[in-house]
Amino acid sequence: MSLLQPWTSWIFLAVLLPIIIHMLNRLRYRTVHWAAMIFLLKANKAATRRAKLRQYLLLLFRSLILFFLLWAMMRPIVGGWLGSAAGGAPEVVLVVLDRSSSMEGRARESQESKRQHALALLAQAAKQSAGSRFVLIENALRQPLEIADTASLGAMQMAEATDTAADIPAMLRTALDYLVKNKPGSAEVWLASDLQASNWRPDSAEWQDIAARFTALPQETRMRVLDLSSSGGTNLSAAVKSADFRLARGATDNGQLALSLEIKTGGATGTFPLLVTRDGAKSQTDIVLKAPVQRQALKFDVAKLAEAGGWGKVELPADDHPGDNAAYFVYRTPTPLAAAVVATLPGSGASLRYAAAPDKTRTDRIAELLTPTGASGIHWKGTALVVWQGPASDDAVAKQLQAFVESGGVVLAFPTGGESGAGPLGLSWGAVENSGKDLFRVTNWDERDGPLSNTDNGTALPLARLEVSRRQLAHIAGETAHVYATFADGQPFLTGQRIGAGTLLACATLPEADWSTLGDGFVILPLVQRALALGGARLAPPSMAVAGEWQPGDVTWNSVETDRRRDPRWHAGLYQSAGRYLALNRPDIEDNADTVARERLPELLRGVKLTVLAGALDLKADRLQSEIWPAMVIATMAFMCLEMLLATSKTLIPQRPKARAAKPTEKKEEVAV
Amino acid sequence: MNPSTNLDFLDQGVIARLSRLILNVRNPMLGSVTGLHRSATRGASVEFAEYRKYAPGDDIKFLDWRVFARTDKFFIREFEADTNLRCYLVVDTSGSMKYTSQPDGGTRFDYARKLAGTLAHLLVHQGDAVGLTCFAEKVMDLPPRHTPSHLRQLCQTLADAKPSGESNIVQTLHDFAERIRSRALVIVVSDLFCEVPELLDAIKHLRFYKHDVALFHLLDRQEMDFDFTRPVRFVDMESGADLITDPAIVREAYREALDDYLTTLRHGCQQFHVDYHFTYLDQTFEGVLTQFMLQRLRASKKGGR
Repeated sequence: MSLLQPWTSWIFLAVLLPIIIHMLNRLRYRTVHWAAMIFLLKANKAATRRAKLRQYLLLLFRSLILFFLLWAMMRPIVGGWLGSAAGGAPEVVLVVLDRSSSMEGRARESQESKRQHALALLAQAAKQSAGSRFVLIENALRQPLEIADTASLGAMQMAEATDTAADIPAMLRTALDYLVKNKPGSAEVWLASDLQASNWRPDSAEWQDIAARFTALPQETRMRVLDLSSSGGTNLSAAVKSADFRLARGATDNGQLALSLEIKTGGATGTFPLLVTRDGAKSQTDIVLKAPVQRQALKFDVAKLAEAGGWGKVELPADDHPGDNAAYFVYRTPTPLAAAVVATLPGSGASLRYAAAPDKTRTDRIAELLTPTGASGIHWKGTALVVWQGPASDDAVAKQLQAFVESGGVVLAFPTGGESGAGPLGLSWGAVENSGKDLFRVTNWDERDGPLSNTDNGTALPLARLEVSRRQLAHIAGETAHVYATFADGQPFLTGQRIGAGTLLACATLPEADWSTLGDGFVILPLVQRALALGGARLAPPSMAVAGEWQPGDVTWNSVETDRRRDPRWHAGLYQSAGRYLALNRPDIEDNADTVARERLPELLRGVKLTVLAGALDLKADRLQSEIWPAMVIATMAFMCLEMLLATSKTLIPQRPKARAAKPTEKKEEVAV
Repeated sequence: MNPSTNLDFLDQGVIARLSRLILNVRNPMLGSVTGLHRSATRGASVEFAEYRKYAPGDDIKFLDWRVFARTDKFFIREFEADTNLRCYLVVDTSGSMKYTSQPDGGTRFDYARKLAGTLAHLLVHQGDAVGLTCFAEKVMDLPPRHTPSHLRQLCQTLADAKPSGESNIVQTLHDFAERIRSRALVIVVSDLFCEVPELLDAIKHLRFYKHDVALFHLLDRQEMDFDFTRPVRFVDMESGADLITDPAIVREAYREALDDYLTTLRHGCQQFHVDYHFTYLDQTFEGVLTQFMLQRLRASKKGGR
């Protein structure tokens, strides 16, 4: 509860007035010489618990009348969120607004999104802090923006919906920077978020630093969190994982479009219609959802592909979260991808070259086989993938290889096949291990992402059938290595590391007959092809990007769809610029429904004065804070009535001293003579 | 002090008006001389009382010969005897008799003095003997006489009396009953602030000796109403003890205690045939006395006279 007229609290001492008057009255006695003391002593002895109780009740009622009257005059407001703001409005209020894609979800039985609801609540709360300066920090730009009129908060462009992700720790750091730079006398941070775990990153070590910086601020700073998280409800989300166009054999503009979708069902099962728009033409297909996260592959024949390529989107039926029902894609004629296979073992080199370019008649895959000494002749700029089997190269090639990777290329390394030692890009190979009778088996691998993920139709790669009799483990320096697959004993089969914009992948066996069955092609073919596609992304401008992460630069991009205003900086959609299409989609992390438990917030912001308004989604804006002086006036009147009843009630001791009827008959009789 | 000033409490006009009435007694008296009141013995008045059988030794001049002629039996005619009255005025002179709620009004003792003085005058004028007992911590007695000089002395005593100290009316009345055993009219003028059962015991003691007891119970109206509005420090007029209280809190209990007291007292007086007169100090004492005397006249008429 806070007060709109926050007079100093000593005014409440006035509540003691009736008691003081009563005490003074008792002290202000007069002396009477009294004869009928015998009755007075009896009366005083008996005196009457009831009478004393009545006196105390009268005092209480009179004090309460004053109390509620004064309280009503101070115009108390209640609502919980700003409840403890009795000290008056802060100088600065930093409104940290999460307007990520997930904030477009709706509460049940409401047409309002979480973001709109949060804005309504914030605008309402801002009315009670009219003297404060309001500064908006939202997740898309993360730039402090002063708000001139809080009533127009909902209409501000910088508070509109986006398809971006929110980085709550980064937003709070921006708020901290603002507070440090501007040094306001007192400040509050109003944070409106749906507590999405992927936005909050509760396990990040950043929180300790943020909490420490908040507590170290010289000014009194309180943080109030509008918890807009919701539970339950049905939500389907669709994401396009890839849109690959494959030219028909010998054709130049017709072929097949393969869409790979990831659909998160939130537990819902059944058949759902999927609306696919492709180059403006709509079609509908039914999909059967069985698992919480399901991959769906769709294929479309494309009769004639335009020079700029094609575009489209997939849409799921409307649900509680309309923002994640659509996903966009762009496809075009694939860029020819070139791979360089550097191998010391001829068998392995042949297998790897074959895996990189299995069909010599196709022009979209080119591979050349080189020896380490010939590696200097690689056309680095036009190469997507370098497959390196053997020890480390000389320094000149190593530098070129390093530059290649950092510019976005992919290096797939295979063991030396002999002695342990250094491999490419700082990689080191261990000694060759023989399995003996029990072959090495790959038992765990990442089926969702990476070069060993399932195929478009959801089929897992046959890694379990891979028989490895010899292996040579790769050791990657640094802690950023990612293991994509492991043997049964936990040793890595395929390890990866991001280096600059590119990737280094290291496989622990060779496609040699005495090493493994990798050369059979069931695993090595998709592995090399995926690595090739990954490295090829740098050779062609991107056709699909993530809203918020991709920046349009100086080029003007126009939305292909005209149903609503879209900004390529933070709105998902299809954009066109200079004969080129681009599909922007919301970040994958926005589809993650996990939230941070409300109870964890004090732990994350340890030491920060924190108020969390739970259940804000169900709270109407006009209920956030409301003046309760009418209730106080009613209470005052009620206590006045009670006081009057008690003071005048005949059953509860008459208080008005009344003269008694004369006992004797005062009738004068005539004097008889 | 000028004696004439001292006797200002006597209103000659009231005495003159009331002297047309006779202050009667409700029971036969045993006086020493002939008077206006019925005697407990047979006497020589002209008023026939009864017949009774002749007994040897009776004076034959009282034989009713006509009855003898009709019945052939001897009957003696008896006549009522008239005798004088001895009246004791028992006046409370304790400190509580100084009370008055009116700053310029008369005190309870002033009222009592008027009543007692006027009654003494009326009684002496109708030939009855009047005595006076003033009691507080000490008791002062004047034996009953019917002479004018005695009346003057009695009035002077009343005039000189100063109410002070604590009273013990119960003990006073017990002592009085033991001391005065011949029938008399006992008129008590007091505020009667004592425990009722003990007071009724004393009255019962008086009634045991066939005294005609009359009580003038004097109370101020404020003592009944207890209409104080502010906290008051009450100081006992007799003992000096004090009590600070809020009248609003104790008013009801006070009234209840007083009502209980009055009800019990009235009931006891009725039970013991006591002539009880509740009197407010703002009533005219002439009216009170007139009512008192007329009630007694009616009672005596009902009794056959």
